[in-house]
Amino acid sequence: MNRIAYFITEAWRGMWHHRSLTFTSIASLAGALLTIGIFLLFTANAQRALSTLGDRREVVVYLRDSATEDEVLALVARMNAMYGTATAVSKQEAWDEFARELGGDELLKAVGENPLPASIRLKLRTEFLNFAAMERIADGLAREPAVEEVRFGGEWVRRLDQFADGLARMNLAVGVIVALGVLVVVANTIRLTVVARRELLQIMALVGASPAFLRAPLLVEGVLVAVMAAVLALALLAGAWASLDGRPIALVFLPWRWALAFVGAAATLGLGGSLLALVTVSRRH
Amino acid sequence: MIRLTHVTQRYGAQVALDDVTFEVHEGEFCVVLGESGAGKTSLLRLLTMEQLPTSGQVQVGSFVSGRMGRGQRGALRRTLGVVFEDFKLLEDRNLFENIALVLRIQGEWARSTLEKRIEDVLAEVGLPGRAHAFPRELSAGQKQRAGVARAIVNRPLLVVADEPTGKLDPAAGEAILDLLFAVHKAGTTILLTTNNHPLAERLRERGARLVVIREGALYEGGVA
Repeated sequence: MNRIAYFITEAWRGMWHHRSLTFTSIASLAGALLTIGIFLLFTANAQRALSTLGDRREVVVYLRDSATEDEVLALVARMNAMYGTATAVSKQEAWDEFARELGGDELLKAVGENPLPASIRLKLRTEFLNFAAMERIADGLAREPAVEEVRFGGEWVRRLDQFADGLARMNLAVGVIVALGVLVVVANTIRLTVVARRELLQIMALVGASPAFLRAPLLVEGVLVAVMAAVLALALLAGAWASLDGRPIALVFLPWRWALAFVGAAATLGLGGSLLALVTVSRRH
Repeated sequence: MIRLTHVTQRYGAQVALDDVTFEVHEGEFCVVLGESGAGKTSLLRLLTMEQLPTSGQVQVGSFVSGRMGRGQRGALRRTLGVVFEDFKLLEDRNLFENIALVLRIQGEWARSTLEKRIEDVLAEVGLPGRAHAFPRELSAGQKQRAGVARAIVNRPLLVVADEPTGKLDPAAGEAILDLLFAVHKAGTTILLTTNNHPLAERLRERGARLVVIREGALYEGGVA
């Protein structure tokens, strides 16, 4: 048996030795982690919805009638290089599109001359899909000599950004509260473990165990308890998600990277909680 | 091997050891005789550095009390073997795991080496083939033999025995003393504490050095 296997075995032995305490800790941690899991599930679905809306965000650059073809082509090339995918729409194309949307060109014939301007539609790269970047790009394009006007739906872009920011802040706040809760529960669990296994720790210290040797199984125990709680929380979340079965709306489950990060964060908090509890252990021996 | 220089140990107003200067040389078998509360436990706790002296200096091998960090306490204890009155075996583990704990702490992890060394030491203390027995399956005498096996498995230069026969019947106690003399004969220094006067006398008759501890002071040969 190598060192790591030994410490894991010792941690498992400790957990089994006081299994009612272990079970209580895992259950209470799973409850706390489930709270953040629900928020993450909400965030994953909100982000999906936001990215769908974000795909529809575009900047429309209306061109002066006096703009030459060379000027338009040069501007399209610059926009393609700098911001995303730019598509030129001529006055005639705009007219045809408008006619298609109206379902016929009878009314348009009454207008006589085509009043619609030529334009360039710009689909932005992901990094520019926020209000500040879009406003900066729009201001820059508005100064081009060939450009009459630039529109990008600023208000609803700003609201989408605010919603996304609010969501991130809410996740952070809930995450911090739950993280503190996990730290406290794990630290108390390990403190109780130390009390329950006082005799073992004393004997180990008396036969020469170093502080690291004493701490290692307890650190592993804290990590194991937190990981088991995280897996239980994910299982409960998956069960709840599956039972919704598309009601009232179809939800996606956490991406597997998020689930892994969730378990990894729980493991880190478990380690932190154990360290918190063990600051005093080696001093006592 | 052991040197106490003007060591005083106080617990509040109570003086457990009072300006004790004392030495145990390499290869000695030293018996410390004292009543309950005379200071034996304080002396042993100083030797294992579970506590540090209020004043004075304790030296065990190359370890000196004034220069001991927490990490060094473990290093000191890894050079000692300790036999306890109440055995201090882990009840939920068999003898193999109890003794292997000491070797793993020393950094020995190879299963084959552990098995060989543990089987050898169990044979040496009269428990051959009992590696997989749990403490609850053993008599008090056998538990103390296992305690001695754990103390000597890493071949320490010094074994400290805290009333090793205190919980044993006379026959089992004699067997443990024989065992400790055998360990001593192999070159190990022994420091044994007891509150049993006849036992201390018998040990002196067998060649051990007798020191009496009374009210925190040590007296060579039992003479005040």
